[in-house]
Amino acid sequence: MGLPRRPDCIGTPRNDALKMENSIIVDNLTKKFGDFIAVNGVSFNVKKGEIFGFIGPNGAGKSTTIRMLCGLLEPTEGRGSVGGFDISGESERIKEIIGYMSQKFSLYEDLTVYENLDFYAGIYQTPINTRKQKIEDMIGMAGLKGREGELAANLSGGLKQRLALGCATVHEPKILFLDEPTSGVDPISRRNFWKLIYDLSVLGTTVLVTTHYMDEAEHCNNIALISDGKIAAMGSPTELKTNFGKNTLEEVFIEVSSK
Amino acid sequence: MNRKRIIAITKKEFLHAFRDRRMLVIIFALPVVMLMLYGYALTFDIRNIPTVIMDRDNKPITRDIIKKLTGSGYFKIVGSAGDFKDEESYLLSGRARMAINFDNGFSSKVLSGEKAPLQVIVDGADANTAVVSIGYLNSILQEYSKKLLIKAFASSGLSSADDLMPIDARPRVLYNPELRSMHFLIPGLISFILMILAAMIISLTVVSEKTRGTMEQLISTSINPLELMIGKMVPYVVIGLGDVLLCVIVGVFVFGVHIQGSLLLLFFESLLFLFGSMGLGLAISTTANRQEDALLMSSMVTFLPSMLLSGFVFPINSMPGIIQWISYLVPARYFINILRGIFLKGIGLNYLWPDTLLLFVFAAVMLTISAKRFKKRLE
Amino acid sequence: MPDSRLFHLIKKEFIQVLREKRLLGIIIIAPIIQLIIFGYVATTDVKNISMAVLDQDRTVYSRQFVSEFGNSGYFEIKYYANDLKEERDLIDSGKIKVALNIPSDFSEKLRSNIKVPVQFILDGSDANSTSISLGYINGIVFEYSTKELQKRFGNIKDLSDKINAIDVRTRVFYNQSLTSVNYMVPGVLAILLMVLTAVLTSITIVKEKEYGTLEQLIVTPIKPHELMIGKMVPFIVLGFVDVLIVIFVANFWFKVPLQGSIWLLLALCLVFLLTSLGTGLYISALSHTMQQTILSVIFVMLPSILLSGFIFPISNMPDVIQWATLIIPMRYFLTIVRGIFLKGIGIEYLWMETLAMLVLGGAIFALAVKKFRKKLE
Repeated sequence: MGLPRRPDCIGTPRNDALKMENSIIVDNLTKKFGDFIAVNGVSFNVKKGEIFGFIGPNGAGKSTTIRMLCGLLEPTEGRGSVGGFDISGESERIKEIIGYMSQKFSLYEDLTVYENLDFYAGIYQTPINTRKQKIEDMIGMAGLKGREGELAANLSGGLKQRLALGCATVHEPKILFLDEPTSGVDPISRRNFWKLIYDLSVLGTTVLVTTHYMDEAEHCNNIALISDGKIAAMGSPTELKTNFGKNTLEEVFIEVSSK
Repeated sequence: MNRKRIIAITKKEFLHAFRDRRMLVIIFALPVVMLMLYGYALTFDIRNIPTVIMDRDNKPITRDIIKKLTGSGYFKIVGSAGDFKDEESYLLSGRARMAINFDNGFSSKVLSGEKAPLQVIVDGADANTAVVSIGYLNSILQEYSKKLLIKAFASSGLSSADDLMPIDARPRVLYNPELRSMHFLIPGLISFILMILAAMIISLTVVSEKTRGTMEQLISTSINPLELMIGKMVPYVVIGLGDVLLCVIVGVFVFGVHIQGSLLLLFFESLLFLFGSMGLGLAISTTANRQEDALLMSSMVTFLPSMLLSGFVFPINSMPGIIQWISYLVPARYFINILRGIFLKGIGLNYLWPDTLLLFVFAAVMLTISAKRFKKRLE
Repeated sequence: MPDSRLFHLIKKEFIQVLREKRLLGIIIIAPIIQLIIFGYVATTDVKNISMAVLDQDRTVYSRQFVSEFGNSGYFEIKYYANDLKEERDLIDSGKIKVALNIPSDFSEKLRSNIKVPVQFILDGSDANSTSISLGYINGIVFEYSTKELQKRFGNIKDLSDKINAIDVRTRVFYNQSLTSVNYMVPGVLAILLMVLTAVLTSITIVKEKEYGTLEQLIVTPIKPHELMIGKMVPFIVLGFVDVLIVIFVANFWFKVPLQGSIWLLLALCLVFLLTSLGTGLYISALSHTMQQTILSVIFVMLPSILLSGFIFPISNMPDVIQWATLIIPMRYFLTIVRGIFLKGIGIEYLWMETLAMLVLGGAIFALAVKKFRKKLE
């Protein structure tokens, strides 16, 4: 399966079709830090509007993969394309169409809810005439109506999480990268958060999320199980359970990673 | 108090300190760098003051005077000016800091016994250098005058020319006859480094544990706050004394500084001072929640006063009264006094006991305060 | 500019800075504190030198000799000692810095026209003060001697004139009062600007690193140069605020008026800022924690401040080191600030320093930018 060439080149009809179907295409992506191989020849596709889960324990290479796709790291080998743009050469264009949320939440503690959103909206240069409305929408989405003037430092974990999501999506990105977005947050907040992700997916946003919570994996359309930098298994939750003859994804994962 | 727990914390702190290579370099390189700077570069002893001459007379006498000036090593002739404007431009541009003018007829006036005016213009911007250089200029010219005087008296038939000067001033300089600044400055440097080390680093490390959350982790173990305190302090005491040793070694072997007094006393006093500074650092760490704040407070309370108000570089008696009173609150002042006494004068506790007592009080008070606050914080 | 990314970055930085009450307090207070410190505390003026007198003659003549010192304005006679041991005690304990010993045959010898040895014992700990004291002593003794000679030989025409052969007339330019305030205060401007901008710039960047927001910014379409400018602009503004405060306080409180052009000063401040901002940027690129940042900044700045001629004159340094100071931008900036403040000179005398600052500052800044960029990618 060839990789789509740059948009302005003439590709084969097959590649173009692939491009239209897939938001994210990853081919044999590898990242080495000296002798240590963090990501080892990873390949997968994510379709438009899909929720794709990257499941695996800490240190498996999930965050590293995401950072390569976001343009935060240069891959050692392999290729990838996000939204049709090459991650090795066109990361600037990728940054314009993606949203990113890390497990640190990365909010400005000393800025208010409104100021955080306004800042990111400005950075992404969202259309001025709709900006204010969009920010209000995000505030509503995060359940922070009435608390716009509060400093982000004073919010609880769950609210911070949703605010961070708001900041990551205020510019309506086509593709959303979430790196362990629910770490350290209570189960109810986690559930509410996933509802938000569903809503985004329904609207056509592609979501790539990493997590080590197996129950969250069930919420994804497709998942890739990662262990030691390699994809150990890939498919929809149901497929995986069936193929491995297990009842839960956890059991599948244990089976797969013990090999 | 559980000794094993204290040892565990001490071990961890040592690892922290030594793994951060940058911090290590700075901890040990900084004193050496400062010593080198002060030893070789930073001095108020003047030399080669750029001077411009306007010699309208140009006779043997003026040339002789100029030779004496350059021969002293204090002055360096950078040019000769044709007129006053020229001279002024030398001064304005900074090419010269002093201008000496011999008027036409200077020598003949001197030889005929008339008053011969010599005009000197000094760039007063750097007051200290100006004052010192005027002093040197005057003494060189006085010497020259004296010689002329003696010649004149001799030619008038009065005998024993040299005995003419009524007063024979015999200065004797104690403790530092060669007038080297290093002896004076090393104590200040030691105090400065210890203060920085103790107060800044401790408050920063403690606060960073707070912000990183590992402090909570520690609290959740059954550790006693005092054990925590001691554990945190020990590595820095060791590093601090190591720094003192380093300074002493460099001072003695590289700069030839002799320690007149007791080395043991030196280390004892340093230890006292270290404890006090660390207590201060710990106290600061209990009031600050963020690193920036800890930093700010520790620099205002330790860094600046111990550099400026302690007598390290600037003599305290020259400061305005109010500020002299404030300097009594600066522990570094007493420490430097003690160290200078040991380094230069060779005096012991018989003279130094008041200052030592004060240091002891400082250490005791600081440690008590921080122990109390530490306890409160952790509970 | 109105709605650009850069604008929003700068806006955020300002919000953060202005909200930080403590920071603002520092920015306003720091210049004032520094001015007080360097204006009053950091004085190398040697005065009120404590003196003890051991007068074993106790006649009108010896008392008159002693009063020359007491009235000179340099020395302060604090003790009259009874014997050498007491005197030595006073010096050892630090109570006095100079002791004057007048022998018992002082007046006798004086009246017989025989040279009298007078001993001065000085505490040599502080070499600088001691040299200055020696200078004063020699001056006073010389004055006294020539007056004495005048008295003895004044009636002999030939000789009396020769007693005052060289009449030194000293004029002091630029700092008539010869107080170190005038020298230090302009220097404070330089220090403040340098330290404030370098420290604050590097801290805010490293803080974002520590909190993770820097990563968040990299993921957005923000360009590295926008990020850098956004970080620097607020501190440039605050730096200028401080410069104005210093000029104001210097003028009205310390009576150190700005003789030259304020516009030239501000313009050259901007050039100097290249250096400090570059330094802050470079250090922030290399540091991961705030602790590292601070220590690095101290380590880099302390020696360069010490060698820049702020307190210790460069001309006193060994030639080798004087050459080395040529690459310290602060050295040139100090010359510029002092020149504009005290001498009122303009670019016609300062062009060399300006050029040097531009070149050095530009180089540091360019290197910092390159390093920062690389780290971001």
